[in-house]
Amino acid sequence: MTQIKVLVVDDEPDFLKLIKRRLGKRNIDVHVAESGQQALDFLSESTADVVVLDVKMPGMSGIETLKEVRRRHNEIEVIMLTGHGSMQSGIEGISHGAYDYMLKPFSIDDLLERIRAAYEHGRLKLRGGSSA
Amino acid sequence: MNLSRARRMARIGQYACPVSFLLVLIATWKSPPVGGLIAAVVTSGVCMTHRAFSKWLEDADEERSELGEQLVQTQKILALGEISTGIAHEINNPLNVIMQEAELMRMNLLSDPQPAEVNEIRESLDVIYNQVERCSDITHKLLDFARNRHPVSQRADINRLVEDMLALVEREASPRNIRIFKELNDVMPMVQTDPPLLRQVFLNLLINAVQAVEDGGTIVVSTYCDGGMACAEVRDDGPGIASSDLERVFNPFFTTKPPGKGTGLGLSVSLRIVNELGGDIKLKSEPGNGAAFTVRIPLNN
Repeated sequence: MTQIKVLVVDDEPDFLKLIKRRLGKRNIDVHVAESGQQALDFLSESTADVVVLDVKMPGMSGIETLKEVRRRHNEIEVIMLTGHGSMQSGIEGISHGAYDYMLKPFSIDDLLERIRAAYEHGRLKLRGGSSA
Repeated sequence: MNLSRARRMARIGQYACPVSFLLVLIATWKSPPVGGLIAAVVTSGVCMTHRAFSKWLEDADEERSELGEQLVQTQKILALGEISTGIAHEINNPLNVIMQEAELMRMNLLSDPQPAEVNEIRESLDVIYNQVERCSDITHKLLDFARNRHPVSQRADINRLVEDMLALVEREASPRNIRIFKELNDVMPMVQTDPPLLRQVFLNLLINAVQAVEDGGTIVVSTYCDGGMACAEVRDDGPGIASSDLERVFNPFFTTKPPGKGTGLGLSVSLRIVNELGGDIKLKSEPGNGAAFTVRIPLNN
């Protein structure tokens, strides 16, 4: 099975360190960014299959980052993360084309499963249309 | 016109045909040569009547399909009118605010502004910024409506998709004491569909339900299979939808919410998505008795 390349974007360094270790152990190629801008910089030089994006971040918000990622790299799937489950950010995230939306706290298995589903969705999209 | 004439003929024919055949039979019995003549006359008469009759039927059919087309055209024009008014309304409101704020700023800048005026100018700029965002949000939604989505088919668990979106909405609903009941069928088969698109649909329906009910209201979410379709129903006990609005709720920009509370695009986008996924949305509602929206997705896509 090919290694999935994931970029995790969150303003909390402790969370990033933890998630990098935990996803790394599950055979995921994990990269991290501490802000929306950093994430966009990373994606302009490198690429990722799936971006896991925090909604609440200082500076460029998660929704703004999502819009930019979707505009520049339509093939990348985005999973939104938030501690504040508000309908508004949910609607915005999902209507701006986020693949999925997760409320903190979450279990690593749950995140992993969603990352895999998002990755598969991205592959199918690249192949153009249905898997059947 | 033609249809009623054809209908009358059919009714007469019902009795005339057996009677004429009976007459021919009796005539032939009594005197074969005369009977043969009568039989020939009656047969050709019946034949001619039938031809006229089917011609009328054809005309009637044509008339009906023309009327149907006219009706569709009228509905399209009505929907287009609603869309135009909707766009104009949604964009004009923020434009108006921007205009007022710009005028205020110009007045504040007539002479060298004092600190209080500088503050007011800052506030005006903030408002303008927000209103521009609101406009761009509307155009974004319009583009989203028109977008060709090219759905992808992925194995998905309808219950899970519904529950995920419920988790988002529940945090908004619990402070208002809205009770949400789940009646999810635990043997729902997996479906082949596009999960992020379906999430968007469920979220839209749930948000509508939360906004429709009063504080302390009830929302029931259920999933089940019916006739080869996977169904997810969102039912609320809100004010319901007037029968005159039932056909319009899926039109873009149709909204019953106060200005600024909803663009009226949620349901139209949702229906478009579900249609692209090969399904449909059924709506049942009576004024005063809440509303139930059912998303139906084909089980084997």
